Amino acid sequence: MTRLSFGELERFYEGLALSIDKAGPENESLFLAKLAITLASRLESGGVAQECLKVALGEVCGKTGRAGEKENG
Amino acid sequence: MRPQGRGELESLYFDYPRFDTARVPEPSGETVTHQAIIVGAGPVGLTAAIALARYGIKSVILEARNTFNDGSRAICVARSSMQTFQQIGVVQPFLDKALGWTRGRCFYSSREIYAFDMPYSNNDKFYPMYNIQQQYIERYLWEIADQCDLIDIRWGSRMTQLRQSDSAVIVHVESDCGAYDLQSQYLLAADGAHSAARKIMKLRLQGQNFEGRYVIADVRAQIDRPTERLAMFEPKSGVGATVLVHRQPDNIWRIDWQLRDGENEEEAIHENNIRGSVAKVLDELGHCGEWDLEWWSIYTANTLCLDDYRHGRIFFIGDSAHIVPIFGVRGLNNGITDAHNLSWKLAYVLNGLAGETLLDTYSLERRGATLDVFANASKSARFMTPPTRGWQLARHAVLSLAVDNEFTRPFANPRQMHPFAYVDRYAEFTPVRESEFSAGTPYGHMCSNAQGSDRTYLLDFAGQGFSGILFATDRRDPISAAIAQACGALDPEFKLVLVTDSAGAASNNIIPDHGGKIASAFGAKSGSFYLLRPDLHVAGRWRDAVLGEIESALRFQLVRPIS
Repeated sequence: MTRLSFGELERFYEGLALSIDKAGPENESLFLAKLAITLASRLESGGVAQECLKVALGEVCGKTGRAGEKENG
Repeated sequence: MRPQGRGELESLYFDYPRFDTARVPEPSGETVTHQAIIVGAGPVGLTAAIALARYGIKSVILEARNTFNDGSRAICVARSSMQTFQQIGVVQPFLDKALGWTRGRCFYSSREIYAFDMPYSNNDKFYPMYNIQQQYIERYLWEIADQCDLIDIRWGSRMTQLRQSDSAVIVHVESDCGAYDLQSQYLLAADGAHSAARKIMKLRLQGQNFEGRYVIADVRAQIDRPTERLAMFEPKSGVGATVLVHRQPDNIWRIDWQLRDGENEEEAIHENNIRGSVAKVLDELGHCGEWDLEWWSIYTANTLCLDDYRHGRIFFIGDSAHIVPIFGVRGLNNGITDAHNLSWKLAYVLNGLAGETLLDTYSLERRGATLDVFANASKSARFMTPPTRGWQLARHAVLSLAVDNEFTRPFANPRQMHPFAYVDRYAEFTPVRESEFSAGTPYGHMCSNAQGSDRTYLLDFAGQGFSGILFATDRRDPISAAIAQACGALDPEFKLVLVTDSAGAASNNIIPDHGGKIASAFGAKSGSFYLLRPDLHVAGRWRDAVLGEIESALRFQLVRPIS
């Protein structure tokens, strides 16, 4: 499975920030839960979805393949 | 602002000199047309004056204050600025005083989540970044300018009127010693963010303001930590959403923190509250000894610039032309580059070596650099000072994930400065030879440095004018004499440097490259040639030097007819 590039992840981050504001404080949690379920439904494996739950809870580290990418200032 | 009981210029470590107001120098009836008036004796104005003087151009600097700057407080000098300081012959005191650094570290709730090392190798003479207080920058530049016969610094002299005709700029100057008119061929407005020139000409900066507000405080403390950039997100001290810490010379520490939403600005900058916040940050840094408060201020991130940096005979350089957020450390550094970029061009025009339209390229190139900063600035400002709940929560999420996961760590990248490449301008001059290279500094970029086999640095040999780097096996290569003659006819300051594959020590502009490390870094072979501008940007390169094309490239640079 190919992963998002950092640039794409950053674009998603920006969209996420704007969408949280759009959802408003009352619907924020519901929006985030819906987003998580929508993303999970598009994954190819249930195992990955289960693992993502643990990553977000801080119970395991996410295997990302991004390690070793060097920052150049 | 300074602590109660201390005067405006009463620093813990720096003696502000008091310069006498310049006497009224223009006797009535006699009109002298100066070559250049520079408004502002800050780092940008002084750099411009010194650079112009290197080409024999006289300037008059008008400075409203009677001492160095106390409001603006830049501290980071980038490698490219050090290279510029070297080009204009002022780098040594900076090397003696400034603290070089390469590393930045980011913390989230006291846990380190990300560290970055800026590129630094044997080939670099200078560190990627140096920390030094702006007062020292001004003092060192002033010490050089003050000794120079071609530079006339008039302290306590305020420009109150400004107009221009087809042939001259006329300013009205007021001081405690009287008032007078001054006439000049050109004027450089280096008078900062609150530029008087900009106001008189009714020009407006365009762009956007960001919502985050930062407090900036300088503190004296003996803290045993290396010089590196510390960024603390959501620090345990609870002082602000983001805290930045930089070490400066003389045991001075710069601490910046972001005010929280709803935090009252006036209350936050009250001395007691500043002291309380500083104490918490120092505690988080593990410092439990004594400390003194030196100075503090408040700051809002903006990206603003003029639509054009040139208005006839008047040029805007530095903060008068553009305001950028602090996070990328580009304010001072881009200002220094503006000053050098304009100065060599103006000198070539005034000395009759270049066409007048060369001056138009100043705005084109340097405004491009500002827009490049803007492209990254909104991203970094939204991360450093998240403006709304959505941005705050998203930031919180990626930082929290970054504690255990690599995939969100690059979000903490501060996107610090790199020299801007002047590529657009070269589109007019077809870079036909560019594709012949597979390594080295491309067209338009600032040339990378390299170390010869005797450990000398290549760029130490660059001249004040255009420089040529010829890779040669034989010192008596006939093309070297032909290039030197053709280019020297167009630019008397032209300097040819030979990189040879011989051993031994550098001499007479010949750099030994035994083992061919420079050649390989530059993608060069015997006969390859690089043409550098006075500001060390690559103006053309040839895998096999072609005399006619080299001459045309230099003519293009000087806006002279290409035969």
